Formats: sequence, C-alpha cells, structure tokens
Amino acid sequence: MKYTGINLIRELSLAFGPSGCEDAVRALITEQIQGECDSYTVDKAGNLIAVVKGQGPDYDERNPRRLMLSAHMDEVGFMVTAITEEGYLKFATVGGIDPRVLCGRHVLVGDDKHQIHGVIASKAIHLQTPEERAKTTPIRNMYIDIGAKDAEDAKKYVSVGDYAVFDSEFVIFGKDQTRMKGKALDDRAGCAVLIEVMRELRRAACHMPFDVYFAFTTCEEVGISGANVAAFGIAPDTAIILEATAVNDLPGAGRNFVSKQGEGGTLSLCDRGTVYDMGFIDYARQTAEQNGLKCQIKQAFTGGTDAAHIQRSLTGVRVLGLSLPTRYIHSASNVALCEDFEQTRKLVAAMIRNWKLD
Amino acid sequence: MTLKELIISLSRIMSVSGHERRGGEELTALIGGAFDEHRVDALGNHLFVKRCGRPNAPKILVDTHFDEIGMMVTDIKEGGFITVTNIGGVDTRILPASEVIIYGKEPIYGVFAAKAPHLSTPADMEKLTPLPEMVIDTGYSKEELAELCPIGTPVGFKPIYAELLNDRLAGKAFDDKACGACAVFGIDAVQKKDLAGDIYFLFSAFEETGMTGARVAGFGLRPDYALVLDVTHASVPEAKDRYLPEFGSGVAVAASPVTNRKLTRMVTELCRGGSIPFTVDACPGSTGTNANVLGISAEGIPTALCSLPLKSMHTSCEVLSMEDARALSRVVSLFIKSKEIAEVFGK
Amino acid sequence: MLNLMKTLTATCGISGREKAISDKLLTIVAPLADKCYSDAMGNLIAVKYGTASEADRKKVMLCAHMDEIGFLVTYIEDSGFIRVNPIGGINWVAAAFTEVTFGNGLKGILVPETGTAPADLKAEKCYIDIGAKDKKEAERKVKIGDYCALSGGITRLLGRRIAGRPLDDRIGCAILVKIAEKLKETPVADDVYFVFSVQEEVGVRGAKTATFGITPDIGIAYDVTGTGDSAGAKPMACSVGGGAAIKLKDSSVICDYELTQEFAAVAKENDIKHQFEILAAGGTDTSAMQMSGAGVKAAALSIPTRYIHSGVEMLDLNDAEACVELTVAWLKK
Repeated sequence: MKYTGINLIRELSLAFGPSGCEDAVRALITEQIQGECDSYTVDKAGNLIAVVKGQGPDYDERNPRRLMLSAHMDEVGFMVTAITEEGYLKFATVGGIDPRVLCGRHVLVGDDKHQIHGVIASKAIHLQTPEERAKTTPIRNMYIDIGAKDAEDAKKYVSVGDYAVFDSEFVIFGKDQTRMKGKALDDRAGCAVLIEVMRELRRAACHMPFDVYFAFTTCEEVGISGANVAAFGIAPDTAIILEATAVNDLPGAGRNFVSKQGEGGTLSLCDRGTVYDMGFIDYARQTAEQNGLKCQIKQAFTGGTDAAHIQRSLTGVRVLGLSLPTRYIHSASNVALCEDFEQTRKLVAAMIRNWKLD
Repeated sequence: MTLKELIISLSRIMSVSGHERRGGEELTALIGGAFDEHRVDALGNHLFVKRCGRPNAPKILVDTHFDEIGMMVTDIKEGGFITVTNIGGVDTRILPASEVIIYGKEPIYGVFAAKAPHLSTPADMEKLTPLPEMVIDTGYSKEELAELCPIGTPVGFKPIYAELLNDRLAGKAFDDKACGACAVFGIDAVQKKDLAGDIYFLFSAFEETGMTGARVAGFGLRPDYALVLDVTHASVPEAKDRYLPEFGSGVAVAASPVTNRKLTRMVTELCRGGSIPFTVDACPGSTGTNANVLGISAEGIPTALCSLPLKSMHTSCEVLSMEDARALSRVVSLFIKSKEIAEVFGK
Repeated sequence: MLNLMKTLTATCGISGREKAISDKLLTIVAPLADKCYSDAMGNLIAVKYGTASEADRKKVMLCAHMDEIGFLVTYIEDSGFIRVNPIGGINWVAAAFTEVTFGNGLKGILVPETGTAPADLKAEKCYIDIGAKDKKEAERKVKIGDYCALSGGITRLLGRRIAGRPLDDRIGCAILVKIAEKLKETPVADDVYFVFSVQEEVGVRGAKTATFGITPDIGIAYDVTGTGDSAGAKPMACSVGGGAAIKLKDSSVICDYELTQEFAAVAKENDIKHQFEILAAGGTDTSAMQMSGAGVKAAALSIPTRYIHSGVEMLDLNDAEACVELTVAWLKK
C-alpha cells in the first residue's frame, strides 16, 4: 500500500524501528519506493539505498557525479537488560532519552515482527516520599511492566536484548489541523521528505547533472552510524542530510529559541559533529528566496547528525544539513508543523531541479 | 600446551598499546604453528591466517586485541624515581605499593611509592593521589635511568599469576589475551577441511586507546563477516543491580545496535546446538569493543560479539573462570566451521 | 621565518571557513611544488615528487592545520550587538575585551555583558560590538553565518621568541613552507605531500579526508604543544627553547614508536636540539592520519608553545627551525 503526504508520515511514525532493528521501517519504505527509482539495494549495514539517474546536457553518463540525500530510519528506544524475579523488565535507552519523559509512558516490547504492550511503571504519588516527588526518577530505578506473573512467565514473551519503543498514536491537531504529533518524527519525517522528493523527480523528469542516491540509514541515534557505510559505498560529491531538529520556541526562550516553527526548514551552520559548507548554505538560502520558500538558520550548535560521517567519508564530501523544526524530540510526542514539512520538501526538490552549486 | 598455559604465556608478553610489534617473536613462537601465515601492518596489528584450501572461500575474521593497558615514562627524577602517564584506563586505586616492570633497554623492576600509614592522617587516607603525582622507585640513579629508560618507555604491571579455587585464574592482561588464547585454541581444534572459509585471526593493536587497530585492519582486510572476542564485567557484590553474568554462565553474547542481529542469532543457535552455556549481554549503545568499528568499516562487516566474563578488569589481579574460557573457545570452533553462517554472510 | 609568520598570521581562517588562508598559502607554496590541489573539505595539498624511481618512492605526508579557533554569527540584536557561537576551544577569559576581525575585514570588539564574573564567561554572556547604531546598520555589514576571530598578528619578544596569534598552527604551516623551500634546493628520494589541513580545531577532521586521498606510507604532523615551563604549569618535561619536540603521545594518539626513535637518532647524529613530548590533554592531526584507510605510520614534531588559544601564544622560532632541520635531515636518510 502506498501512502502520500501526512499519511506517509503517519505510517512511518508508527513503524517499529529502534537503532539496530530497522527492518520494519525498511520494509515499509521499500514498498513506498517501488517503481519510483531506477534501482535500490540494501547494504551490509542495513542501509536502504535507492538511485534516480540523472539526465540532460550536463550529465556525464559514463562517469556520473553523485548527490546523496540521507535520512535515518532508526529511532530512539529501549533495550531489555534484565528480567527481575517478579517478572518486570529492566531496561536501558537506545540513543539519548531524557529520563523526565519516561515515567508513565506506554511502550511496545519485542522486535520488528512481534511486540507486546507494556508500561514504564511509576510508583503512585501517594507512595512517594517528599524527596522522590521533587526529583526525576533515574532510569536504573525504572522498569517496564508487561503484566507478567513472574520471571518465568515474562521469559515466555520477552528475552534480554529485546527492544522497546514508545507506543504513541499519530495525531493531527490544532486550529485548522496544522500540527502533527507522534513518535519518531526524528527522523521518519526526513525519510518522508526523501520518498516524496524521489516521487517528484520521477513524476516531472527534469535535467539533473548527477545521479541522486537516496540513503535511508541505520543506527544514527547510537552514533555508530550506518551512514559511514552508505557514504563509503555511494562515494558522493555532495550530500544533503534531512533531519528533525530540536526547537526551543517556547515562552521565555528569548533569543535562545534555536529555531522556530513556521519558518520552514532549518539549515545548520555548525553542530557538535560538523561545520557545514557555507557555499552550500548560501545556495539553499538563494533557492528558497527565488522560489518563495521559507528556511531559517539554526542558532545553536548542539546535537549532531550523519553529516559528520558523510562529510569525512573517503576524500571528503560537501554537506548541507536541513531539518524539520520539531518540538519535544526524543520523546513519545514529537510535534511538528505540516507546513514546515511542505516547505522543507519543496526546498530540496527546488535545489535539485535547478542545481547551481559552485 | 593447555588453554590455561596459553592464557598465562600470552598474558606475560608485554604489549602495552603502541608496543605491539615488540612481542612479535614471542607471539609467533607461541601460536604461529597453528596458522599458515603471519603479517604485521603499519600500526602493529598481528594478522594470522589459516587457509581452508578452497579457492574463493569466504574471509572470516576472528578479532581479539593484543594490546593491554599500561603506562609510559613521562619524566625522570632525582633519587631514582620516575613519573608515568596512563595508556588506556588504568585503575589508580591499585597502584600504591604495586610492582611494575619498566621495559627499557633492559627490564627494570620498580615499586610505586606509598606513604606509610604512620605518616598519614585519616583524611589523607581517604584521598586518592592522581597518577601524575605518583612516583615509581627504581633503585637506579637519574643518569642511569635517562640512559636505560628514557621518556616514552613503556611500563607494565609485574606479571603475577595464581590459580584460585574452582579452576579460576588471577593475573594481568587477561583483557584481552585470555580471549586471544581461546580464539587460537578454538581455531586450532578445527581441521582445515572443516573450515567454512579462510580464517583471519586478528590480534589487534591500540584497542585500549580507541580501537584504532581493528578500524584500519578491518578496512584493509574487508572480511565477509567477523566475530569479536573481548572481556566483559562478571557479576560482583558491588554491582548486583547491574545484572552482570555470573562465573560459570558461559559466553556472554552481545545484543547491540552495532552488531548484526541475524549473525548474533545464529551464534546463539550455535551455542544451543553445541550445548555451550551462554547469556545475552544487552549493550544498548556502543559495545566498548572493536565490534564498534568493524561493523561500519568500509562497506560494512556483519559482526557478532562474544565476551568472557572477567572480574577486576584493568588491574593486575583480573580473575576469570576457565569453565567460561573453554566455552568461549568452543564457540570459536563452531563459528568457523558453520556452513550456515557462511551461506548467509559469505560473499 | 619571522616575516613568513607575519604574513600567515595576518589572514583569518577559522575551522570550516579556510578559503582566505588557503588562497594565501597557495600563492606561497605553488612555486615550490610540482602540483597543488584542494579536496572537497578544503584541504590544500602541495606535492613535491621525489628523485627515486617510481617503484622505490615512498609517499611521505607532512601535515599542519591552517584553521584557527573563532566564532560564527548566530544572532543580531535590535541594539546592533552581535551574538556568536564558538568554533573550537575558546578561552573566554582571554577572548573578553579583545578586538576581533571578520572574514570581510570588518573590525569589532568582543565584550562580556556588564557584571559578568570571569568564571561565568561563555558564549551566552558575550557579544560583539561593531559600533552599529542598531540592527539595521549591523545587518548591512554582517549576516547570520559570517565568521570572525580574535585579530591576528605577532610581536617580537627577546631573542627569537614571538607572541601573538594564531601561532596555533600557522607556525606549523610556516615550517612546511620552509621545508618545501629546502626541498626545492635539494630534492629528496621520496614524494613529499605538504598538507595544509582544515578543521583540526573542531576534531582533526580535514586531515582524515586528505590522508585518505593521499594514502601515504608515513604521516608527520606539525603542531603546537603545551609546556611545563610557564608559571603554575602542570609538570611536563617540555619547554620553550628546548628544541623540536618529538611527540610520543597526546590524548588522541600514541605515535609510532619506531618513527619517534628514528627522529631522536637523526637529531642526535645531526646535533639538532630536540626533546620528547607527552601531552596530557589535546589532540592533533596525527591521530587522523594514523587511523586513515588501512592505517598509516604516524608521528608528530611539536613546537613548544605557552598560552595556547589566547591572543598571546608564545614560542621560540629556534624550536620551529629545529623542526625544519630535523625533518629535512630525516627525509634525506
């Protein structure tokens, strides 16, 4: 079944895919790109890589240049580290999750094929001491309750090493239904941009001086990223990394808003992993201006993306970081604006359709 | 030579990170007979090859690291004292009054200075002296030391081994040479005709200082798949809430985002089929081993990680259980024989 | 060396924005090399081919980073004050109340918000005043994403010692230029790749791709190192004026032991002043070279420098020249 627009994001958001267990997401995306690209493969690190070939007067068929578009399939989640005698699951996070967003959340425990329901249990407020009420519960004191009677019962359904993800409905909300909420918008929203851009290039064939490689990558959230392998295999000249980035446009943020929702895709200048190519940033800004699209510059140098791995691959790659400004990332409820997604998608398509990077 | 003897013999070789070439002769004398080829690369990685004799056979990598934590001379002081810096994660708590060997032009015996309790206040005793402020007492003059062990000379714990109760062994550098011994034993136990491919046994360099050796060796070699062997923390009274593997529970097979899920599942099936005891060690982030760098090397190397439970890691009194070591060596044998794995991951 | 350093410290080039300094270095090294090129990340590479037959020539990579620490503009206030984020390890105490220069030559001053205690100095508490009346005037000169750094330049102190910035690592670049000059006069057997790398200050990033492209047999980095000889310094057996510092270890790398011993032996034979160096905190391009591709034998020659990452970095040109002599003698072997 093929999905488009918000429905596509919905399906991607609901797919089970913590780092190292992206199979279900990869299967869903594979379905979405059938007939939309010239070929696709899965490499040894589990990355799904699809190609749309270039054409036109500037395209060198024998030795084509290569543009890589990259978005990661994996999401933050949990791994079961032990099963207690009482049948509770001890866990650790896969990727960085703030313990404050965990208590009381529903989770799905298992792997890409089978999952069962569970909750991250929280001692009732009545049973907490005044000190406990004032403090965040550390993750080592939390556990997942799957309803098991004891360890033996739990082990029928769950093994140490199994994964879990947030169980979070995808919701469209706000006046005029302009906002979306779901888990894993980081980075399924980026995956959705890639799929939609691929379809658009296929629909309205345009002159492209390069082959476009769409890389849906693994394990970004744990830092030992599949993007290393993807970039090594593709050997691109240039790359655009599509991400979901944190925003802080909340009351009282002042000039520390990082980026703002409603202002379009966010371009990164610098983060903990990468100093981005200024010529590429200027090209994105100009393209936006010429096409009446919005984009903005991220004002904080926090976080990191697969750009770090791709930029330093082989003999080096020029990279651009473009992100969907998303509130409350790495929690069960990421919130983004449908319009920012549209602006981001259009900007990527416009840059490719009329490529002019010096 | 028994597995236990090989563990002790390998662990005795000084191979502080950066000095992996130095023990090459001793190493080949000990284990070279089990292989067809041996070579050393630009970084000091030792690569041993055992060929199956068939053309175009899968390249199977078995990795353990040859380097060990240790120290390096930073300065020479009046009175025959030297100061050192750490190479890798040295536990400074164990240093006062410990015995070391300074591997200079000739091995020099030394003792870390420790203040007598009579000269210390109770408050002093609660504090830990930082490594740069500690000194090693050698009994040589400053001038002699400058000649015998100039700045940069490696320093290691004096090898002392003891057999504990229940077939348990105490000593230094079992991280990771105990695993190295298990790998060699496991590989030597398999006849060439039974190998699923050509076996590349990598005794890698620079693991303790950032996994540099395996990173470049994996890139240069491009094996079809890999098994990494390293040590993991065994259960101890102070860390009961960590649910670590107990001694005697066999091999700890890592479940991790950075290892290949399918290969890992096949390894646990091998354990079940061979009645080898194992536990699953959940590593939700990175594994802290060479598996981190091998999996994403070049076009990607599907990697599984099996660990040997070890107590008091990175000290001169690491403790292991021979029962678990024998289990690990059997896993290696089954892994390199497995036609099923070769079918899925070989070429 | 002094005049070369004056030239090289007059151009600003922070990590990721090295175009201007790269252009300047290109004009200097182009006449000395057989071939010059840049890669996708902006590393400048100059090659001097060796005299031996092609099969017998090794590839030796000499690497110094041309980037310096600095700032990127992230926000312009209604008042016209400019807020920046740091690129690389900024020492805010040293940066406060200091002149800065933008990529386009514009001058400004970096100042802390009034009443900020020295211990609290950081990006959020500092801003750049370019003298603009308001946001509108500021935006005519500066836009989000522009770069600047503490103004460069050097002062001569006693003897052959100099102070200023960015000595880290334009002194390494100067050493490479001087080596290239000597090789132009008397060529050596092996191919020598002079790499002026980018983005060292943000995590030895440029040397990684440069090394991958060159696949050298041996890589040597040239960079500043700390010393134990300033007042209050932590113990370190390395001093300004003590000669070329043969690096054994820093926090990113353990150098190839054979190479370090080779350098020490060549220094002894040729009577070149030298010392060993073990740097407790700080990394260099050495590590990026060592772990590139299938691995490279890597070492480093360091220039002992006091007050690194301040506006008054200080070193002895004799030490830098010892690095030049030692390298040339080693290459000739």
